[in-house]
Amino acid sequence: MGEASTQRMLLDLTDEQIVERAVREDPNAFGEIVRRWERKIFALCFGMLGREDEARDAAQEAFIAAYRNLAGFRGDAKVSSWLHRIAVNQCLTTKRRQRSRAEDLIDDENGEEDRIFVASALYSPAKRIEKTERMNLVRQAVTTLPSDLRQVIVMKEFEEMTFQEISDTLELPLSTVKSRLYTALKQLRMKLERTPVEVI
Amino acid sequence: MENVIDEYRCGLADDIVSYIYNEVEQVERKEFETHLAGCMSCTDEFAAVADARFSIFEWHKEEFSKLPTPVFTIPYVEQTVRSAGLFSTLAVTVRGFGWAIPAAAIVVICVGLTAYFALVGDSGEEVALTSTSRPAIAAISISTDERSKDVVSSSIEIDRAERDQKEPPSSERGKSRAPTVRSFKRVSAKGRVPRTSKTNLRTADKPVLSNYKDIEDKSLRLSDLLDEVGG
Repeated sequence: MGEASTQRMLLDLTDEQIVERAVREDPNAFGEIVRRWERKIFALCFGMLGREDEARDAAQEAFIAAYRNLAGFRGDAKVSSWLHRIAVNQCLTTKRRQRSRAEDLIDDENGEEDRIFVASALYSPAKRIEKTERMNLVRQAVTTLPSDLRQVIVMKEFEEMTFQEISDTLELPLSTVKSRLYTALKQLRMKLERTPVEVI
Repeated sequence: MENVIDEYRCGLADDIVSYIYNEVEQVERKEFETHLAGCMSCTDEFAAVADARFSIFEWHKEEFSKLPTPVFTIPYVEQTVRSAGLFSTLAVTVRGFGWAIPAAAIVVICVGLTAYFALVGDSGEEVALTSTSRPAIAAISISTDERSKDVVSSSIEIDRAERDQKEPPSSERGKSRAPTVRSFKRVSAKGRVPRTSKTNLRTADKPVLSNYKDIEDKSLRLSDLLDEVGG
């Protein structure tokens, strides 16, 4: 069976079926799992670590750890949840490593500056098209959010205000601001999930 | 791809958001991380929220961070005039007219001086109107009725004095004579009549008419008609 036909076949399988195939006969099938979840795992790591370079390293190590422990996947949870758990543990390990390193060295006081995301210059044309399509989807999704939710998103992501500053500006309790942001992000995810971006 | 989001039951939504945006205290951070490592539901929920947040973060960096800051122009002058009140509005209006205001001031001064001299100046003198005094002419042409009356009455007195010199006054017959209305004519620059000392036309002092060029007036005079009638 040719590689192209194998790839087309994997597209029709569920995550669990791919993992089973990868365990039994075709370890390379795990590549489809990586392709499907690399962005979400990277986003999770970025959410935990706040740095693009550290998030990329953590995601890389998480997929390597998942590949090595394919046989340990029992199927009692979803593959995505299993990957999430591995990624979270990897991020926590990275943080512990950073803390122990910081005890020996001078602490880095950059703080929020470390959260600058540097776009990779190594995108392929297909990746760039995918990214453009995703940006259009995100723009549409944000603009269709209710105004009170969109307001908090804009103030947090574009104005880079703290929760307390948003609370003071909108004259809302701190917990209300956080719950609105949470609701906005959940609704945003539902909108993005409804129209997935096809990878060419 | 999964498109169904399981219901989140742990109730740590606020903690998830605080952790993702790094606005959590050190103690709370450790507690949350410990919980996250052991709770599949929170892990999945954290991943979902982090994914959505990352989409916005990426969109912001890709589309907005590259945009140059626009330059906003504020019309400060208009605002200043509007807010300063009537005085500033007048100042702006005056500045707008430029040269016209000094010119108008000069005209007003000329008119005033001319009128002053007309009232207080030489008696029995015919005002020589030259081309250089056109503004004065225009001003005089629109003088008041009183001013005109004064000129007429002054000319009447001059005429009477002149007649008295020429023939015995017929006023002894008890008849009142109609005053001669002298017509004023424009005199060219050449025929400009020099002014003598200022005299009040209303006084009994006789003007020195010989100093003035006599312009022959061939128009019919009322006094001539009345003389004929009166005999």
